[in-house]
Amino acid sequence: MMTQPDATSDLALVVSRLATWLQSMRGPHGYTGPVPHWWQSSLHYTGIGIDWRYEGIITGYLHLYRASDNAHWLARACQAADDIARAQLPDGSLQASSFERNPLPNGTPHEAACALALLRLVVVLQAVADLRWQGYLAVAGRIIGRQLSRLWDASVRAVRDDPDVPSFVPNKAATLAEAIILLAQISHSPTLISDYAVPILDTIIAHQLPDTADPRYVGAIYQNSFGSQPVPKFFPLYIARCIPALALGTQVTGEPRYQRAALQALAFVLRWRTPDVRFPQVVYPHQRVNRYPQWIAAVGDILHAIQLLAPERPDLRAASQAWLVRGQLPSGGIRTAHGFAAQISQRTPPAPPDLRDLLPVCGWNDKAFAYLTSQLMPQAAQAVRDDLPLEPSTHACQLRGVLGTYEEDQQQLSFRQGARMLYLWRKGAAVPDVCDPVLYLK
Amino acid sequence: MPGSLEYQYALDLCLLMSSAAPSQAVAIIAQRPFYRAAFALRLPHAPISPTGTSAAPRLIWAEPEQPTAAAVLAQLSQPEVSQSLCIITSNWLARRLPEWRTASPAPAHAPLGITGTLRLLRGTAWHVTQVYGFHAGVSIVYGVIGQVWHRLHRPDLADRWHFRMQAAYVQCGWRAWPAPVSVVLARRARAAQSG
Repeated sequence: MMTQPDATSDLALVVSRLATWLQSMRGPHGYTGPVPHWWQSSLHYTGIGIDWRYEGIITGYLHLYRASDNAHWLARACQAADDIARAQLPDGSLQASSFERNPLPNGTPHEAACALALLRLVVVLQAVADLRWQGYLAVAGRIIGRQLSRLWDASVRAVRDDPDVPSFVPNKAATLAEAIILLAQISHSPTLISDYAVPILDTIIAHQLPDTADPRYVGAIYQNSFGSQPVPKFFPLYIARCIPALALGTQVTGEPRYQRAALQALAFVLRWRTPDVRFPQVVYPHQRVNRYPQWIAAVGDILHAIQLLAPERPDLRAASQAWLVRGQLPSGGIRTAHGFAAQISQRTPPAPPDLRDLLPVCGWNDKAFAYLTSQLMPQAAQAVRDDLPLEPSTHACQLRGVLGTYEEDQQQLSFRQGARMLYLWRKGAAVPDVCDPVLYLK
Repeated sequence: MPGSLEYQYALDLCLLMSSAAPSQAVAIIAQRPFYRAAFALRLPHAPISPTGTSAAPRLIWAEPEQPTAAAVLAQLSQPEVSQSLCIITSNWLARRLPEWRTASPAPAHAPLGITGTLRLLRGTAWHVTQVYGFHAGVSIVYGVIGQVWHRLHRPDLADRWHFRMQAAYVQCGWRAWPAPVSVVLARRARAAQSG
């Protein structure tokens, strides 16, 4: 019997195309590809990245497994976990764990995000008595041990972002706190929570603007601090990434202050959402903003935070979820952003979009993947697959004033101006085959 | 391992040059642990040696230093298989970079610098095709303007100028000269190829 497409089957198709695209980005040892980011981009190193992409990828596969009971998705999660295990160095750190600064190791919050993903997998494997959990638990434990031995600052009872500089980055520390709490629960080590996770969460709250602040900023969390000096920048995405750890803090300690901080953080994020449901990149004091680039795929993490704290309010997510889904390219990958070309001017971005807007990235799409898979009902999850034919994408775009065409298919992605190839990357390769000097840009 | 944009660009550019003809092998000449570790991450299968005795169609040299550069170049200039050369150089400005402040030992002890490197190559079998410098001239000016906005408590404008600086980070030709870190691209001159 033919069925009419509805919202559920549409979502299953969106997820199937995204899962198919993710598979196309795999090399022999992991997920690969260029990375545009706010801080800098990595268009030259395109090899595997053992970074926060694994948090969303493994979490998404586990959502699919739980919802569908299809062992294929558990196998995919284990395949991704094996990538992390293979990339672990003798000191516990991970190869190429710095996302936009790859292939450098010691990336934050990336190594903690990998540990968190492994621990989520451990919980699922333990539930089905699959003994592979032991190996993944050991890898995650070594990652967290390395993070604490390298970054823990006993004098302030928090983790530094750089072992040589007194510094704190709330969203990165939140990812580590979440991993520590999960490790403590799995290994029945409550002192890990009291000794490390709770002080980290308290330090995050110390970076949050109180009720007495300008009402537009109540709940905002400073992006980072050096010593006792906070940096007056507020990134909605990064604030949203603090929320799961804060909410978990209340669950494990019974202390309501963490949940309250999470709710206030979410209120800040939603307060600054634009009428057309996009999130500005950075909010500064005195109601100044740098709007562009506005994330698309990464909005998955914000949607996850909203769902976590307001599951009864799907209306708070609907429009932003639609913005996320509209960003899906024919290839199945989801666009990175809108407005990279306006990163300097902050004026309305010119058309066509910047190449960096279009490039779908594993480490942004994982956030969409984790969120969208969490929305699937069992019947829809059973319809998801990751072996659809990948539909080629072609799109007019520009980079630094050079107009061209972005193309992607199963094997490669490229940027060319007429017959002149400016950028050509074969999926899985560590370096693009062609990189014109116009792309000598970070 | 710290990662300033200057060294990230230089190492990436070497990586791109090595990929331009994937069928051609690459060898690395690197004396110091800093470069040996950096290339082990990026080109794990490429042989690394401290002298110019490596022979491969594409060579990366990081970096010429005053006491040894001439001897290494003499070995490189033997008309054998190597056809292209990618050299990382640095000058005194590089000493403010985190790699110099925190790496032990430093990336180089007595860097020959861009001027010395170009002088060394002059009259040899190697023809310089391009020079790239990272964070020179206009990008330094943009960076200073960003710092001024930062001090004036306008982090929004400081960020915009920071990205303007990043967009101007790579300079080529004569504009590259004051850069803390540079890359010199050279190929073997035709006469030397036939000789």
